[in-house]
Amino acid sequence: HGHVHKPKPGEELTVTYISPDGSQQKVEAAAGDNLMDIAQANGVEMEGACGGSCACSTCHVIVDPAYFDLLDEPTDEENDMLDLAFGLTETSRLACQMKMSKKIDGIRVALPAMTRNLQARDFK
Amino acid sequence: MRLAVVGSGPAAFYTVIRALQKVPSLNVTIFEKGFAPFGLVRTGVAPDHPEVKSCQERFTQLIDDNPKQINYLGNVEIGKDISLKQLSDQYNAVLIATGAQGNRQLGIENNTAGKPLRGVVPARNFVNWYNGVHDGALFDPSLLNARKATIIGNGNVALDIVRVLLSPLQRWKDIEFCDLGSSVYDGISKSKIEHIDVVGRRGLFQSAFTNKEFRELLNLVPMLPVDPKSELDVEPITRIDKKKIKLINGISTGLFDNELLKSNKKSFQFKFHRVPVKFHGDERVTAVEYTYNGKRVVEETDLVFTSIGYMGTSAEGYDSVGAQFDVKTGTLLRNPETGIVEGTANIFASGWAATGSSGAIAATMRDAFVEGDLIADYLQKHNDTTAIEDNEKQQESPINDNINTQDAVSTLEQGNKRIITWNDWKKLDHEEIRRGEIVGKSREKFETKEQALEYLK
Ligand SMILES: Cc1cc2nc3c(=O)[nH]c(=O)nc-3n(C[C@H](O)[C@H](O)[C@H](O)COP(=O)(O)OP(=O)(O)OC[C@H]3O[C@@H](n4cnc5c(N)ncnc54)[C@H](O)[C@@H]3O)c2cc1C
Ligand code: FES
Repeated sequence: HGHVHKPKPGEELTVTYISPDGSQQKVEAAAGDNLMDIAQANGVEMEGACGGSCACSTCHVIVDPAYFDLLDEPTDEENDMLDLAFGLTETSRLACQMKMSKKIDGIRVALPAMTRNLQARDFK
Repeated sequence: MRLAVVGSGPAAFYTVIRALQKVPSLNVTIFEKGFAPFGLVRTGVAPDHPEVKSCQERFTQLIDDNPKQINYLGNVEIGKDISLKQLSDQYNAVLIATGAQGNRQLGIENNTAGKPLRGVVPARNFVNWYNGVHDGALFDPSLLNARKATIIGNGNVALDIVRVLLSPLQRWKDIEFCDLGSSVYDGISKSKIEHIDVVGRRGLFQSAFTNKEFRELLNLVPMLPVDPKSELDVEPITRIDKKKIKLINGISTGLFDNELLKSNKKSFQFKFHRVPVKFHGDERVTAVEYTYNGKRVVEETDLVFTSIGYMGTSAEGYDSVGAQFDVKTGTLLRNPETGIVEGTANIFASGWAATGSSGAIAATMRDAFVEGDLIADYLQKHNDTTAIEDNEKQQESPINDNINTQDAVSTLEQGNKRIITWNDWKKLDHEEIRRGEIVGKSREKFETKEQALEYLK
């Protein structure tokens, strides 16, 4: 798992993962790798149950709005899987469907909290 | 600290993954009644969805990586081979992750003579059959020698059944990593079913199938228009319903224009707002009677699948530990704060056993993670106070591959139960993969417990 490439010197891009408890982890990444593989390779707690095949939605993340519009449009298949994601937001995406690129260098994504009454908490 | 886990589906594994993160010294014993692990990932998820089954690798890795801490015992049924009470007494905590082992009942007359009709089949039996679970006479493939089938219920399982029965046959050869059994392929290729009605009590927006499955199906099997069209004159509000309508409209606007679909002469059709009241037929079903718009209508069919939901059943031993079970929903009741099953001292539950039989693996995982956290909290709190002295009780046990087992397990040893250990499962797994390689598939499954035990001899 976590088939990621080592970025070439000088071409390192960064991704920041924000955990439900608010802690942040900034990691280096190479262009072309997806944000799920990058997370797993760096010990970020993200399941990715279907191995990045856009078939499970367990890699759901909430993208910092500042970066959201820089991303390529989600495919119909990704949108269908997002239907099943918990705590869907306007800037929700599947990490396995987002490829790292220079355009989104510095992107920040938050992992949704695992709670039983997400709605109730969200709107507190 | 010791945790006993009943079941080895996604709920069991994800709960254990989480509990182990929080209590790294935890010892876990997983009991599985089947000869193979992974619950519905193996016996529910359709053979043409290999991606969905990738989570099995993660589960396998968990046990492989923690041989000292996780003990897996297959072919052991809690409530039969070992009582729940015994687990509750001998382990610090017990997790029930048994899924939903029964069927929701349609509650209508099967036929006038009171004898069950041939050709009315619970979806579960058919799903088991196409997934290579052939223990017992569950589904008779000669029933597929019929022209029209009806599925009562319109969730994802219904769409799975349509896809399995009506996809172009060629597709089973094209799908990489498909694990459709050879005998099942044989049965499906002989099927004469040309059309399937998918019947729902209510309208399009109340149907439980997801757009993912719907889009997939529309690319494979021609859908006949909803009749009357006025049934679709409903305003979509949610993003999901908007997409549903868009998909349906896409049929006439050429959204699904591919060769495979064009070559497929079979079809399916949604029938909404029909409440089944009766099956017709003498020996074999010939029609279903519904109430529809206040009228009675009778629609002919040769085969009926009832797909209105799997359902949890009150298991042997719930009473003995005081576990509160809701018969209506088929679920164990949990205290929302502690995660403990109401009425018990140290019993937890996760996945379909607690949530009921809806929700994909992602939802099951989320429930399991929360329960795993709560189990960890409980164990940490009770760490000092429990009477069980781990060290004293852990003695070598001959039936165990890796770690020491408990009293409950020694009861089994005294009987002549053939426990399928993790190493045994690995042997079965390798053999299934080897047999699959010969025919160009991900695996060729053992279809009965007898076959599996025979191989292990
Ligand atoms: C037909 C079908 C298709 C599906 N397809 C998909 C899909 O494509 N994608 C998706 O994400 N989700 C799918 N799901 C949903 C998914 O399977 C469930 O979310 C998930 O399996 C529930 O996990 P669980 O562990 O609670 O129960 P299960 O997976 O049912 O596991 C329960 C386990 O407990 C064992 N057990 C039961 N009683 C005992 C006992 N007394 N002693 C010992 N062991 C016992 C059982 O043998 C079983 O192994 C599908 C479900 C069905 C029914
Ligand atoms: S890993 Fe399954 S959808 Fe992304």
